[in-house]
Amino acid sequence: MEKLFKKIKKEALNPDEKAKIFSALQTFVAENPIKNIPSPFYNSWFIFRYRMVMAPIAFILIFALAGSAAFAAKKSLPGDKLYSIKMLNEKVESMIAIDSKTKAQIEISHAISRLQEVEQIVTSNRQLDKGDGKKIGDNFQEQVQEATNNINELRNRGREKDASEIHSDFRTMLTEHEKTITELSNSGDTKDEIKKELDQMVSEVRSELKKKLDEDGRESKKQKQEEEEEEEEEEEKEDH
Amino acid sequence: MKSLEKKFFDSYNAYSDEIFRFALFKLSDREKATDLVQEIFMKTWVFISKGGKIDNMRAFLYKTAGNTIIDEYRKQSRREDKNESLETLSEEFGYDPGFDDTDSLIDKMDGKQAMELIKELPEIYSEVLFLRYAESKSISEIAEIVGRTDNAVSVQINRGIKKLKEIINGKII
Repeated sequence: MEKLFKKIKKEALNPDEKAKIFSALQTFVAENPIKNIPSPFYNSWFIFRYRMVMAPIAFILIFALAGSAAFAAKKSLPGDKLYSIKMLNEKVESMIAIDSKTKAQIEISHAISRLQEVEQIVTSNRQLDKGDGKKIGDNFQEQVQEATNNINELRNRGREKDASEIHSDFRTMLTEHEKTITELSNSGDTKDEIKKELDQMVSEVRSELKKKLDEDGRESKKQKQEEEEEEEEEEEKEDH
Repeated sequence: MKSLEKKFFDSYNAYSDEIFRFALFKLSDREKATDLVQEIFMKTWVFISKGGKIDNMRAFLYKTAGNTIIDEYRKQSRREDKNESLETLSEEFGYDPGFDDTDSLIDKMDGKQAMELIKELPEIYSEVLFLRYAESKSISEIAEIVGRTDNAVSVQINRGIKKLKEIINGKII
């Protein structure tokens, strides 16, 4: 039996066959060089360390880039590439605010941003794409509404002090901007045909502003009237 | 990189003969077995050149050989070759009572014919016997190559030996 296997063992490539294959392999190896083979030092520990270092760097970079993009976006105007980021940031800001007071303040700051945008656009004689002006108007209206809702919410919860504080600040800011926008809309610069869109935007925002201020005016008058009536009633009671 | 190439060619010098025997044992065709050795080593190089890591070159070569041989089986009808070899065997040895003992039968055989004799066993036994006695592999090495447990391989070797003896005795009588 052993002999049988010994015979098998003797079977081998003869020197010619061996040399032929060897030379074919040499050609093959030369034609197919090693690609991207990691060096022996590039072991898993190295990869691990590399990842340990790179992960926080990447993290910081992403945040730095996102932060600087958000910062750059803050100054953007409709028509700019970053304007959509600005809008998105504002939405996120509104979403993450929990308290009505903070929500109202955020919405007010966004609404004021719209007014500043209008002022910037008009003063820089910037040409708007169709619909951009209307968008500013719509956003302004929406944000004013949201701010008002949150102020009302504060009142309903008995936080009259917070509500009136925010309301009065809002009113002051709106009045200031109303003046600027009125001046701008009356100036000759914006009467140009090309700036029809601009005019429309300005007038929309202006009418919205006026409406809001009028409403507030009526409300405060009403409030004053009510207070006076209450006082009169109390005086009458005292007289009796 | 150079060291990888050197290791590859060192492996060729060290293992090409046994891989050739394995291929010859499986295919029963010297020319095909020679081509197969080349193919197996080329496949191995492709794996290395793409960054593949080989811990045990010998085991890797056997695995690649096994897969390449299966592909080869699909290309050809194994039965035909086997019959042909058996014909050669029977022509040369005639299965006639001219050989009066085991040794004289084996003495007259060459390596290829010895292989054919073992291949008369079912493959499950012939492969492990070949690796154990022709290639002097350990049980665990065989187990790794054929993908079975050490225990199964031991049992198959014992049964294979028994059956091989029966075949040889059958030829002598």
